[in-house]
Amino acid sequence: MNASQTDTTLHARADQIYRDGIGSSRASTDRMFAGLMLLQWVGAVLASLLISPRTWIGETSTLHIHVWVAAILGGVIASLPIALAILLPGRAVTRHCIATAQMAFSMLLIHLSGGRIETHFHIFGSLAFLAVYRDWKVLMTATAIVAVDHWARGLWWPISVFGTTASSNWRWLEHAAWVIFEVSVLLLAISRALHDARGVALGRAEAEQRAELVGALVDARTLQLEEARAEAEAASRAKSTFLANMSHEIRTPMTAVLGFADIIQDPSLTPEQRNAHIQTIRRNGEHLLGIINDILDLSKIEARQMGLTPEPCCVRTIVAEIESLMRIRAAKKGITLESRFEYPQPASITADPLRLRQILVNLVGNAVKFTESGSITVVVHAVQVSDAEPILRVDVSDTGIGMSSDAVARLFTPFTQVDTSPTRRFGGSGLGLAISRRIAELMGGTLSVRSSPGAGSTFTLAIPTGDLSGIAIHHQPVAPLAAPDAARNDSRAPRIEGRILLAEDGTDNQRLIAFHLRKAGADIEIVPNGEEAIRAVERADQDGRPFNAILMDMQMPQMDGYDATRELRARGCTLPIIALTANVMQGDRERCIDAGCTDYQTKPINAPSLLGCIALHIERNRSTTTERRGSPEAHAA
Amino acid sequence: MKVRPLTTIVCLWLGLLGLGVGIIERYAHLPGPIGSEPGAHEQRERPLARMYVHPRCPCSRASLLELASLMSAPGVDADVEIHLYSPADASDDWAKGRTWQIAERIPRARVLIDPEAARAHADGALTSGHLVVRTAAGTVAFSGGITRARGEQGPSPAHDRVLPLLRTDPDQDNTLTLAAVAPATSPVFGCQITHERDCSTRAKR
Repeated sequence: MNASQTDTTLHARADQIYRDGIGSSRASTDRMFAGLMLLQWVGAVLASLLISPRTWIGETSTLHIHVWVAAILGGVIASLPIALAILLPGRAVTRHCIATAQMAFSMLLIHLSGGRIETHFHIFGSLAFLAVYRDWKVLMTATAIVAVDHWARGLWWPISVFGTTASSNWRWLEHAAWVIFEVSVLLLAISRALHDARGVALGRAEAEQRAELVGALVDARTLQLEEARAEAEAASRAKSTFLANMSHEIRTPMTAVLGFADIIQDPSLTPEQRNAHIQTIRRNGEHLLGIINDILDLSKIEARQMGLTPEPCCVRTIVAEIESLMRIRAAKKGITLESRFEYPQPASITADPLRLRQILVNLVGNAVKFTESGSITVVVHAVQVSDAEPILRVDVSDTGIGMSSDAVARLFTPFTQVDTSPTRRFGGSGLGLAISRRIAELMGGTLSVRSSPGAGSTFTLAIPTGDLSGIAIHHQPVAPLAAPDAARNDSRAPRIEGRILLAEDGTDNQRLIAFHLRKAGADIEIVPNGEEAIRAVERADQDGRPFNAILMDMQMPQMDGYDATRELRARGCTLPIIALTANVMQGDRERCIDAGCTDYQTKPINAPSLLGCIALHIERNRSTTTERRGSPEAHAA
Repeated sequence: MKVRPLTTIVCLWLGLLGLGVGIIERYAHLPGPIGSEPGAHEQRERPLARMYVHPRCPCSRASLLELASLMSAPGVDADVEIHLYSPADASDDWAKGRTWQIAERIPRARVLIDPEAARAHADGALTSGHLVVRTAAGTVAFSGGITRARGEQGPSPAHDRVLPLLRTDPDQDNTLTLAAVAPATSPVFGCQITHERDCSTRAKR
């Protein structure tokens, strides 16, 4: 509704309130006059009994005709107005009959009182009472009766009103003028009262409108609150369900880990059996880590701590890697996995390759998981390179079980799985698609799905390509990429030659890390906290057997890794200090570097990554030290 | 043309009102009977005004108040007698009510009991409020009522006629001369003082 309509509605309502108010007031005044009529009738009878009760002839008397007149004529005068006030309150005819009756009562009372001038004030009082109607027409009726009465008497019977036969023909106007004078004042008062009544009605209409608006607002807010509460309850239920499912998801691999860990202690196992059990433990451990990583990713996104690192990346390479990675799993289920590119395609786009890979791995992985037979197709659509903001669109289609519209509606909701029943067929955290969509949105894109039960699903990822100026555009297929060699990923663990100080309070982690370091050739010393680490470094220097690097757990009792690193740096320690922490949120790496750490590794450890990192920094530190020793300043010293 | 019942009722009501007003107006201006013309009297030093009143007639109080108004007017120097009717076998208290008290307050007024209205009839007064004014010479200058309607006090032609008659200074008015030729009269509005006897009614308006 626009402002003009609102204004019209407001004034229409104000008019309605005004009319209702005036109507109600006039009906109420009618009832007041009904009472007044009765009172005047009784008053006229009493006055006649008091002033002229009987008429005499000699010593005999009869009831005075004034008494009869007061009783009968007074009753006639009062009867119709009283009836109308009861039967037709608020009607114009009622008001005008009452005005006429009031003037008739004035005449009757003036007559009964012997024409006393004082009784003439009944006319003025009646006009004032009639003004309560706030209807100028009523006053006109009363005034007209007085004026016509005086005009007629002055014309044909002047002695009855002026006491002389020689009065001017216009003298009636003198009498009428006094009535008109009062009526004029009353009309002014009526005009102002009506104006005020209109103002009050408008104010009330505005108040009603405001109340209506406030009511609507309250209703809307209440609805929003109810919806928010419902959503919160649904989220709470989803989290409870999720926790229940996660409990299952975590306990299942954990059962395998703990169970097979017990079994491998059996000395009767053959080496092949032991190796198979160890592989089972590792596979379940990796599965657990995947679940934990999903939860962490979602936490990062919800805490707005997930940062993206856009850089030039080759979509063909990423798709080829995923295809290579997933083909084996797909083949195991007897389904085919293929990719197809439409052209033109840029040689590279600007995006975070890790996150883009994460989304596509998730989509293809889901497709493999929910497809029992048929095929999975990854289609990279043509990029409209001439657009101001070109979009890369990738479809991942499968011939799987598909989903209903209800299932699609809650597909991207965190902690929600399509099947939440205790007997659900497919495992997983239920976070993958939620995380993928959030990452797509962080990239400035979208992730959507088209699906129907039994007809498979198609997930579409659309992300901006970034600026393509200067990027080569392929208009036809280029030479296929060589499939990444899985063996290349299994690079040999680096050798570490030197002394390593391991500051770690967890005995299991001490043993695990020590195992890897010793296996890589390192000589290690283990301390349980930061204070011990500082003392160990000093002691080693004094003994002439300094460390080559320090592996520092950042959360330890007594003195944590941050304080210990700061203290070591303060004492002039230049050794590489590799932070080791389970804190993987955005900013944790910066905190470690700020404290003085050289690099950063996360728990659970990736042994090759950890060893490579340590080896790299030992080598760098050695090179730096050599350079310093060979410099002119060093020789001068 | 179809007339609505309410219109009919209102018109009937207005008609009844008009009829009622007409009845009371007619009654208010219906004069009482007047008896035979009063005879001349002896000469006096001043004019004499005699009013005949039924002591219980409510309308006659207006006549007495009009007389009081005349007697209070500047230049008036007249004797006033007010004769209040009393039945033959009644005590004086029968006539001594509120009307008596009003009469006593009129300047220079003598209030007298008029048993059986003998004096009234002698002056031809049959209706309460009848005033007879005689000049100092004893001539009847006015005989009739001095109110304009029944029980109504206030300006009236009779008031204007009587006032000069009550003044003794002949230079102020020449009515005395005219009165000697033809006495003025005016309708009388009030109760009948007694039941009409054999005295003939002289005039009615």
